[in-house]
Amino acid sequence: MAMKLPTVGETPAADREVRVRTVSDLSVEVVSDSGEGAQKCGQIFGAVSAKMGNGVWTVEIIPAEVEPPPRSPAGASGIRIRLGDTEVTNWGDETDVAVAFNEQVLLGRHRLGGLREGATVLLESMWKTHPDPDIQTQYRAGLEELQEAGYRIVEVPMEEQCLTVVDNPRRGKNMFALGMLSWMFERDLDRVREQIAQAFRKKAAAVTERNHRLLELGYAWAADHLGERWVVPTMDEDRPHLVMNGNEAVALGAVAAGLELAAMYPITPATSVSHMLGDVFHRFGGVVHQAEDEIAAAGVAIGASYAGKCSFTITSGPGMALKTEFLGLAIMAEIPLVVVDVQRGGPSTGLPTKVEQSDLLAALFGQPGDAPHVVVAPATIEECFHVMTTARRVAEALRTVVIVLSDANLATGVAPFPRPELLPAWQGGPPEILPVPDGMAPYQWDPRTGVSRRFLPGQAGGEHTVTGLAHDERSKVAYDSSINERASAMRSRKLAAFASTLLAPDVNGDAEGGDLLVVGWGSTKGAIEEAVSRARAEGLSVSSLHITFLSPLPPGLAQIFSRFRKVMTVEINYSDRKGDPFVTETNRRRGQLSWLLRGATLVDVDCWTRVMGEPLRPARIVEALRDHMPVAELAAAGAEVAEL
Amino acid sequence: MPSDTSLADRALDALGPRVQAFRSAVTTAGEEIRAWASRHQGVRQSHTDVTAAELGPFAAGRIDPGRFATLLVPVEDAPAAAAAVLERAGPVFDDITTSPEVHRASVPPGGDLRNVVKEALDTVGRIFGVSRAVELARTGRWDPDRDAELLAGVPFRRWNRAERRLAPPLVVDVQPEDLLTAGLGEFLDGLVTIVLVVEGPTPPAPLARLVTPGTWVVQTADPADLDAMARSPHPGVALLFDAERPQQARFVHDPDAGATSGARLTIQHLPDHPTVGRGRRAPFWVEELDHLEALAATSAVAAVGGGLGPGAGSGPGNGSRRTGEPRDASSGGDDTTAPPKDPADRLAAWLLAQTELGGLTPDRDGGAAT
Repeated sequence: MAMKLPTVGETPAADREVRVRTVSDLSVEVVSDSGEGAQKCGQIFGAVSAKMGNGVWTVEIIPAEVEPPPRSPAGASGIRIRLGDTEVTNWGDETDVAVAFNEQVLLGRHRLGGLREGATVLLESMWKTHPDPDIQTQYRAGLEELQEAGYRIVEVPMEEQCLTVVDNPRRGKNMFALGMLSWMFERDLDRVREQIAQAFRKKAAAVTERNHRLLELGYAWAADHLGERWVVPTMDEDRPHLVMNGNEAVALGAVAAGLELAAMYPITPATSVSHMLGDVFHRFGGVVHQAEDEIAAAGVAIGASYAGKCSFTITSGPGMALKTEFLGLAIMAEIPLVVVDVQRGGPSTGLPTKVEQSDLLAALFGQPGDAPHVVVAPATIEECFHVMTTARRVAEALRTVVIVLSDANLATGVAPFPRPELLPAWQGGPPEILPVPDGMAPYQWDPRTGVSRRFLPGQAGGEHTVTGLAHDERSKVAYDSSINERASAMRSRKLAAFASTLLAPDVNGDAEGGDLLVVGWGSTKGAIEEAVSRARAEGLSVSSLHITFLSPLPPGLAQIFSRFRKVMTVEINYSDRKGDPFVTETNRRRGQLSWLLRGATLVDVDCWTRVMGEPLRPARIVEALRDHMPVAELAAAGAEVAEL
Repeated sequence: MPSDTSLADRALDALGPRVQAFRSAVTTAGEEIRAWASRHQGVRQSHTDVTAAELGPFAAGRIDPGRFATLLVPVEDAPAAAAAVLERAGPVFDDITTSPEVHRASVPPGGDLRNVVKEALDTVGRIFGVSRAVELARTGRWDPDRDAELLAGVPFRRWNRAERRLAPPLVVDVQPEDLLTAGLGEFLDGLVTIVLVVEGPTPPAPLARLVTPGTWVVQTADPADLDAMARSPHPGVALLFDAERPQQARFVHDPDAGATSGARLTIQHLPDHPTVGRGRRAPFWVEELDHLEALAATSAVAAVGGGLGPGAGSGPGNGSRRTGEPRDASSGGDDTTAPPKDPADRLAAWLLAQTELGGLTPDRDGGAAT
């Protein structure tokens, strides 16, 4: 039942009790129609919480359309902020506290199972008395559905309150909500004011002042009317931290790595990498080039790299498809290139704003012909920063393409991480341009490693024709069939040589073995490890392993797998489920990593995957682990036999 | 005696982004040179340590740096001549990076403002000289007989476009009697930014003669007015007064503010004519003031030129346009020449204007004559 609050202006009951609860882990959501600033509110709240010492992980809830119809469940736009008293590595399960600007977007979240039973909901109440009777009816019906779900709903006159400060509350309600959350979670108001000023630094000072007033209004309103506060203890952390999302981390990591040119074409959810670079890159001598399309962006990056610059291109799945031919050229001509693929749901336009890990096989095998290259996947926002240095170095050392697979979860998720201590060595040295020794060929492959010295245009003695045609050491077109065989072997050998430098990954849990080993890659690491931790606490013999280099794979996987009774991947991509119509063991389409590992290790690797357009929830993974434990499967199989 | 140092310091603060950009570029170049030298002069750390550092923290625990190092193409030692160049280059970079004189100069009483600016820029030219020398050394093209003079520096007139765009801002203390600005025009190119800090009464509009379509020009008593100039993609010159005086004009010429000088000029204060004209160079003062007024009075005229964009053909050497006369962007800056009518000719003229030959006008024989 909705909690009836005194109308604004009335004195709150003197005997009102404020209940303070201390929790170690809690999630907050702010949801609104598109354009009402819920994400900005949550970003500021998350950043302040991180600066105050909480573990934080935020996930943006973005509708598929730029401007979906207002007041529609599918159009919910917002953000979830998970707070913890220790490091937070994923978005968690359900939300404990929600602020909603209308009941329809809240229904959208409720129907997706996004809210915990008994969650506290602060709901804009203006719709109750809206002039349109249809909206009033919708509001009443929506409220009833939400009440039946058992949420604790507090109706808040946000519009009415904001009108005391601004003419258009659509531009300001988010700061009022931020004020309420700041009171409920005892956030330091000065820090919040600072963060607001930072967020709106490019706007007129009056905007910041107005937002400060709205913040204070929301804070005061909450202090006068709400009866619940939460304390999430903070960590003592001496080391300075940075707070950013994965795309910002990729951008700043590229700067730290000494990359000099980013060529891109806007595509969700990758574009904000270039926004960040656009703000800062020029200060470090870098250039952001927005090309006329994805293909041109790849071409510009390859051309710059050919000329001796360190360059990269940024895209998402559909852009990767368009860049395919050019990536083949870079691999064939052995031109170093870093490609960042921020994965989204697909294929085609798919789910542009939602997370998936469905580009793995395309990244590995998407080029026609034999095109060996490196694929690497950061698992955390901090790794999004550091992966760029490694990717650049590997690309240049091996003269090949390195694909960095990020995803929408990392791209928009915000989390703090220790401030990196930058080293000039990350930027490597300028490329070698001393005259080429007499007789050296542009592809003078070391027969042991397949690696050859990189020539640059203008380098004395290095004149040659660069070509995408099959060629020999001197870059002459291969008319002799054995030349292609040899060149293919050399390009492939680079991968084998690189694989020999990789180290076996660590097992999280029991390295000695057990019943079930869960294998993941990319952004699911935090959720998987949290799930494994919970499962182990239940007594299940479960461990996990996270793979970072996907091409080439690290050594020792088969040996590690052999210590477990069962191996299963957990991924955010599609797989047929056992028992689905027409699905057999032979034709079953599996999780993409599962497919890869089965081929590489000859181990019967099972999978559990979901494509719900959201990051994996630890609780759902725990359920999957229980269901996939070898004993549970045996029991299920036994039950089937008994039925027969 | 130098002007109020705090005013000059405030001017330098306002130019912070350009100072920072220059220092960052010089520091980065210096580090690159050192890194290259250490690779090529046998000053090598353990291969494994270097490789581990270059691979970064992400590789820790995932890539064995020792094994990875064995994949790398071996680095050759630099030729002796190249090593000698690198040895001489390092101290120049350190010197320029740390020296405040790169951004500050002072005209001694009775001194020549143009010469002081030229010498200051020539000092900066040392960086460009050694950079060119290092580049020659790194590419194995260093010839001591031919190229040794580069190590002494490159005078401003020989700076290339990239160097002119990298030029650090310069704040110059100058006395009113020595404020002869006409000679500064040749330096206003690329991103060269000169701020003249003056104590005491000055002529009313000494910078009016430096107003050209592509140059940011400002006379003000407020250092904050320099912010916009520091952010603009144009060369600039500023006159910073120690106080607002009625006989000193205050104005801003923003190249991006419009297509006519009237649109680009914002005059905050214009002295009355009777208050000027009593000095020893009274006619010049009046001329400058008249010139400023004439520029400001230029009516807004639709820019012609086939949509080639604002600023096309602008820059030193293009001259200023006549009052009320439309200017074709394809004219290469020569407003007295009728614009070509044929679209191809106009495009060709515009392209020419983007090259080093942009300030030249073809003579009757087809050659180039200034």
